Amino acid sequence: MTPQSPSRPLGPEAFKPVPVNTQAQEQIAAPSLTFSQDARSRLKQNKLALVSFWLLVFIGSAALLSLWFSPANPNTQHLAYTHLPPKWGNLNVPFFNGYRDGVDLYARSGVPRGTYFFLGTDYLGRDLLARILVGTRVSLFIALLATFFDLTIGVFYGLIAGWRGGRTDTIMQRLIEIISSVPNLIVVILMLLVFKPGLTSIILAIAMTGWVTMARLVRAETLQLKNQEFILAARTLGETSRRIAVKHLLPNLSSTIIIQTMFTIPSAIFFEAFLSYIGIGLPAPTASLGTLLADGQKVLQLYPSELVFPAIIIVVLMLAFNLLADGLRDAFDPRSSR
Amino acid sequence: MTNDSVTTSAKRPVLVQVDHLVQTFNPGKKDEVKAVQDISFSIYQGETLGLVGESGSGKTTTGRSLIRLYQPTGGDVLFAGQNIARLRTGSPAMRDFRRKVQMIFQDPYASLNPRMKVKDIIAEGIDIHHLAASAADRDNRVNALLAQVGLNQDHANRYPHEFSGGQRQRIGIARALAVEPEFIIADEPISALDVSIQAQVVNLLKDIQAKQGLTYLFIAHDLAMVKYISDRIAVMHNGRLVELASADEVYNHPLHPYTKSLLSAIPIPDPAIERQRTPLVYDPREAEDNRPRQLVAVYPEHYVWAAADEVAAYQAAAVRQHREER
Repeated sequence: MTPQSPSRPLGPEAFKPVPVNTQAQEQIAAPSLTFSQDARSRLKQNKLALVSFWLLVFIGSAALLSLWFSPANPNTQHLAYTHLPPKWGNLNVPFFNGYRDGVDLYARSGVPRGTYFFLGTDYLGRDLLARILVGTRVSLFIALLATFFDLTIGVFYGLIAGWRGGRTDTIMQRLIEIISSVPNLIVVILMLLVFKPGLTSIILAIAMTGWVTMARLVRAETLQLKNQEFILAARTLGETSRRIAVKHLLPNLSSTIIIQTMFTIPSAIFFEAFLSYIGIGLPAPTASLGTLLADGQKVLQLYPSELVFPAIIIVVLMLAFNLLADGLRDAFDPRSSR
Repeated sequence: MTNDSVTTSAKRPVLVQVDHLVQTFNPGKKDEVKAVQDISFSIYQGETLGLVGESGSGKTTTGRSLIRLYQPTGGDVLFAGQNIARLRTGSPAMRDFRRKVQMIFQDPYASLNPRMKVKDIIAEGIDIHHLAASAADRDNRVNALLAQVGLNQDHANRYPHEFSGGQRQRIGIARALAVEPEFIIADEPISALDVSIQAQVVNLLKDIQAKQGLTYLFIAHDLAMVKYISDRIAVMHNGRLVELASADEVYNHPLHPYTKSLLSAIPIPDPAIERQRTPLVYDPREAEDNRPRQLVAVYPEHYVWAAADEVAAYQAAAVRQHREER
């Protein structure tokens, strides 16, 4: 077959310059995307981060809904029903049918018909699912608090140190170094001298030390940004420092702030679980993922499910937050990926 | 002859007068940098003064001290008779100064906030100085500025990353023009652009100047471009002004050895002449003999940084060069 257009001899008119439309030269064809739209479309391409996000939404809403729709009272003890295996109604799913070693423990303990413990019970006969939900709620509350301190103290401290620079910066940096050189665990143990073990000392410890990394990152970024020409332009236009911080610095810091928050959260969750696990976190009746793990670990060889279920939850929480943070970093700052 | 001759010989009204400006960073410390060492010059109303010199010669620092991005270490900067170096941040006079003097920056990729729409970037000064009566007035002003720099109205809602370097630089120019300034410091506005775009931006600057009677301080290291846009040229080296004269005078009758060296480095687009061109090497130690030097008028409106005993030689050279030309 011959080419679609028959070869026409080129006349002199083919060599005349085409008129240039200067207005058309300035045309931009691409759709106008805001920065967040751009980031969202990149995040959507990251399957792992997306799955993590929805997992977190699911766990978070389950924990929150359990405030009103708890499967059972997490602190009610049934000494007759201790260490029951999980049972999902009458579905007869292996491992979730109330049998252990071929014995129907629900029947043996005299559990009334229609009463099921979806994840079994612990050594005091308390519903494990209800306790895990309470523990998750505690973890998410800690996450929220850590975020709060990161966003207030951390961002503010870093902004001031970076923007003011000079001696202010030097003093603020030395202070941060002193704070961060004291291990968190020591801070919490010292708090126990003053407070009873509980949320107060954990919150205070996070308030004192949790925001340090955020402050450092924000400071470093601010130092870099403040010599950018668009900041200089704002200054030559007569913009005040406070307005420059709100209009120019914070929007350009937002990706750093979001990403760092997502990395602070799992470490705060882990910190609380660790404290509760070693017994200086939340006190006895209150469930927390740490205390559940500690209780489960005592009976690991006999009733492994009591350790496995809270462990799965904390692993999923940590992994999901970390993967989401990775995904967000790639979405906000495509240059940093790989 | 003294420095005063530099600043008072004007027949035209002086808009900016720089007197013994000194800018030192980290003074008294180990890492002290004397970026600008006692320079004096004036800029006439409506003219373009080109400031040239190699990297690190203090051109940008001079520009930033003039606009008070840096607090001058010493000396005075008079803008329309007011001493800028002594203005307090936040004072009404300072706000007024911030409106009347604007800057165009070097890097079109760093000078626009990537998180703001073009509309808001351009309107930033309008918002700060409350120049718009209403939201509609603000939009009208932005559209007019966009048109003035040759951009379309539908660019207003886009973000800087969607634009090319030349377009971004024009957005930067629109931002500077938004507050209706009298004096614009252009800090190497074209050195980050393609050659094809450079002419576009420079011609735009010239057009605006002709229409609005603006005064420019044009900082650059490209002598050819500076000669094209400037009425007078000041040559800087090591934080000092070494020569100041009209553009033609500097170009055709350079006197200071550093200026000669700069001019000899310009390639000429003619192979026959280019093969003959020998770059002159300037040895900065020539000037570091601790003899007191200052800008001296060695020919009408032609100043050279010279020690007292060098003046006669420069004067003779100037007269000789001009006679040869005739």
